[in-house]
Amino acid sequence: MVRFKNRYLLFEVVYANTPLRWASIPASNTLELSSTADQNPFGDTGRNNCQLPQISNKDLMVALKDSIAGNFGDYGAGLTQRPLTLKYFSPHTNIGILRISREELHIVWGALTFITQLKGNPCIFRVLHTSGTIRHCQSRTIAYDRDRIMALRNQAQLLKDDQAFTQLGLALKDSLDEVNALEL
Amino acid sequence: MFYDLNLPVSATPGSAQAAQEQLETRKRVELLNHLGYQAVAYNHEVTGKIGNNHINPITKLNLPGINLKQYSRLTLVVDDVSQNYGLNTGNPTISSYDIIAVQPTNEKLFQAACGTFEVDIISLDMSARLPFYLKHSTVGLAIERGIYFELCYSAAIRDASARRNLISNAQSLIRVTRGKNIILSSQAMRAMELRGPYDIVNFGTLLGLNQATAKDCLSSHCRAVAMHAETRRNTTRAVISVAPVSSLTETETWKLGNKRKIQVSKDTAQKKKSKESSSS
Repeated sequence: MVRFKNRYLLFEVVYANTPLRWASIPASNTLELSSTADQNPFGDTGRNNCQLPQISNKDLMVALKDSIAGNFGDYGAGLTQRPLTLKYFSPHTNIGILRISREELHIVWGALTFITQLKGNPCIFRVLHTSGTIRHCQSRTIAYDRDRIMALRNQAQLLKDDQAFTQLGLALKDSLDEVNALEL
Repeated sequence: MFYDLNLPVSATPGSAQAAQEQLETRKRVELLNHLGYQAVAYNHEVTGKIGNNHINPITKLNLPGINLKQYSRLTLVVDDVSQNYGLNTGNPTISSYDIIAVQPTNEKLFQAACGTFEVDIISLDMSARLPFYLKHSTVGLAIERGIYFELCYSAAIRDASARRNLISNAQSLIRVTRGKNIILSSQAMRAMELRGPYDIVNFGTLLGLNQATAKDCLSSHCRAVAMHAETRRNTTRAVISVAPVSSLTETETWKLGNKRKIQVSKDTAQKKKSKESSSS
């Protein structure tokens, strides 16, 4: 008997206002902060809003299943139904891990590509990593989580938002614990 | 290294929408950079013959510290067989763009584009039904001449009927080209229509390309387009190009050879001597 083989897919949700690697600084603050090295080389592109939409695991799975049914029909939905589970999703950093069967990887990945919005918020799904075991996904998740929370903290610091700064510090610790607690 | 060779820009500089468009462009480029692309071509689309007083409206962004190659690209939508479109390197308005693409709208012009036009990319509107069949004999001419066919994915992300058309047209293109000489690009009007390079590679596999070819469609094939454009513009008969010595970077100085280096050091030594003698 051959073992049932899975793929684990680490994905990221990028919204129109997700802060990227650089903190974007609102136009009014540019003069004051012009000496800082973290300035966004692209200028103010509206990515300075820390308030991202709150998406629950259920919202995400509903969007994904709708997309599978819309693009691949009942046949695709049936093929992917059983092994498809969301193992982890962090609302702070908007990354998550999906488990799918190895044969249907392309269908689920394609469906992710065609999702354009979550609860009315325009977004992009971007796959960061795929692997055959969850362990590798875990280590990548930790690295990405850390990067993203650091970017957010950087931004909070620039905007002089002390409360958000300390909150994000706690979020970093939480997400580490949560990822490590994922069963292997 | 991943390329996106189609990022449309339209407004002429100085117009009312220019500032808005500039912001939208910066948003798209920022996201492209985040998604892992390292080269982008801004695309200006012109329908019909291009006038002599046409000025390239594309301004490349100044991005210090960011590893992103920027190209300008002209897409000429051609629809009249009797018109002479002046697509040759001698034409200064045409050669002010880095990359030249044509979008033929009927079979006669498609044949001409594959067989004779001096262009780098043949772009077809894949989001609607193609008005003619693609034939291997015609497409083969373009492949022999190193011209690439373009598939744009953002229309498929926008709506479902375009997605169906794209899938069907892509299938026929892949069948006649046998997966050769295809590039995948975005044609995204908004930042949220872009997708990551590996997501597009996966989409390519759904279209019927194999995984390695699909990856090449975003990387090495696009590089081939850029090199094709370079040899078309800046070389004599695609053999020799001339560049000033000052344009060489530090790592390229080996190209000058030993002789030149000795010459340079002798010159400086002589200068030093003459300086010394004049000061004494």
